[in-house]
Amino acid sequence: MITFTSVSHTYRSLFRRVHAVEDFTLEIQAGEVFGLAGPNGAGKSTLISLMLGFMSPGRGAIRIDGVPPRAYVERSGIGFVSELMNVPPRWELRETLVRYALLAGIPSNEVKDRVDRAIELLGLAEHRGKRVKQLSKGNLQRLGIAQALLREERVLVFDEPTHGLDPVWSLRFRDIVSELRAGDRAVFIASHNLDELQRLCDRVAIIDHGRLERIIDLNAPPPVASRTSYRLTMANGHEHVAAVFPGATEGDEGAFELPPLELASLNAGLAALVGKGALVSALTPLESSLERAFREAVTEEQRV
Amino acid sequence: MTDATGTVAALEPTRSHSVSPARLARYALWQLRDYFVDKAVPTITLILLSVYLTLVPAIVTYGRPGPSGAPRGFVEAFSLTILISILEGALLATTGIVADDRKLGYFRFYFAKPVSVQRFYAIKFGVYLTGFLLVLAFLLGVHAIAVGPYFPPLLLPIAALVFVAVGGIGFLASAVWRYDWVTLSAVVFSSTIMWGLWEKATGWRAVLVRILPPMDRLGEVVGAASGRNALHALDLWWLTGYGVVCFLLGLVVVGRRPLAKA
Repeated sequence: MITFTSVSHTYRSLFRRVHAVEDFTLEIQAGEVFGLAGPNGAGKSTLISLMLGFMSPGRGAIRIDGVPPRAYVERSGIGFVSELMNVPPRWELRETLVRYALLAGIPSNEVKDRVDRAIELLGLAEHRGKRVKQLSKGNLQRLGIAQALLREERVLVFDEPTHGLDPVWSLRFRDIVSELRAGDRAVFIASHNLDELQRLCDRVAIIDHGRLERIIDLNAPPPVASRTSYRLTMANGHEHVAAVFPGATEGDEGAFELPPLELASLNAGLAALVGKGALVSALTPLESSLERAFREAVTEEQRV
Repeated sequence: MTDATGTVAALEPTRSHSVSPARLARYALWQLRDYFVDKAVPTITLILLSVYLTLVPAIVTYGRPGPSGAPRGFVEAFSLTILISILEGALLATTGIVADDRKLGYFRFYFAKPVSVQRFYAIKFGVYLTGFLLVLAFLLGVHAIAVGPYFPPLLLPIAALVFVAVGGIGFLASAVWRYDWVTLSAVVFSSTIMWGLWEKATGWRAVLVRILPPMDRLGEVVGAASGRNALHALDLWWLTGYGVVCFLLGLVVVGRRPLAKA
């Protein structure tokens, strides 16, 4: 549905050139929730600007449904949440949504209904008469999400969508994205929040210095042979942990940090613990598969 | 969709809306409101200041227009006031008309919607012209009541064309970069001076002066609109044509220049 083919983009000023994106190739399928992660300055914002047709790539091609981004946007529109909430400060919240609804091509007789439902969905009812400049960062972000959901777009692009949201609304956003999953819709999320990407996305691309480092398929089962560190919390039987898991270090409140283990060794150890009458209350990986991949990708890049 | 505290209901199934250009016409009403909120008050303020400096002394000196006509000195001052008003109106209307949306990032949400960038700004320019004419008509109405009946029939049509002549240059400047009002002011002043100095020159001076808009004709054109002198249609069309070409070039720039820097 969205394809990047050997896309490169360079910013030129009088005295220097910055290669923001280099030879970037990617395909995002309809029905997919796709994530983009990378350190600051990795090229995420440039990729999003290219995807929305706000600028054209220096080399390569981007196609959405087979047409260049600007042509796609002008024909169909994209639901877009920007990291920077640039809305004229004197507009009122409801007015803002009515304006964007008109621009989105929502028929006049549906505008009021759509706007009211977006306000309701994002919990903005008590702020509907406030000016944009009076909104808190979190409410502004919710306004950004609301305007992107006014119309059922086939392509949604979220740039740091939970930036400034409190935990309640961050969770709520996850629910909304789950509801947005549809067979003919592609959802693209760029975020620094790897936990969020891990929970929401089917695949995540990691970029650094404008290059695609790797793509992680989060639906694929983890390789059995992969070694991961875990945090083990015990209800009782703490004294057996060191014997079963050599190298485990004890933290506070009955928690141990286990050294990197393969799944087979981990499960054997747990069975041994339980066999000795110990009770395990929690076992969590110290880092998710995405965090691990991200760390490896960015570290590799730095080594190069 | 449900309320914020309930479980999240499914968003409505995807369906396409017909994206008609008519919606930009509906959005134009918001742009007209933006004109009145952002531009009309400073425009009226500057025009009233010009009235105070040019028209009021003329009224005191030469008297008001009456049923039998207007004193010559009044017509001269009226013409000058209208000229200044159109220049101020066009300058204020086109300052930031494109550049502010880039600079302040407003383009991000406008142009993620199914909206043609060029059509959006073409309509905005037309709306701001309409807003200016409404402001001018309002002030002329107030003038007719407060000072006397003087409303030359060609005034508003010619004011519209002169607005296009000056505003078109401002639109192009705003499409190219953020220093639009400086550029427009510089073009208006420098071309007025250069046309005055080098209209009959030869060589590179003749070439240079003909690249610039014929701003020295503005006085005569607006004088005709104010009933001071006969209209030289060629001057009017040259000025307006220059503005239209600049406006169209501005639309080309708007369509080609990247909206985002990053």
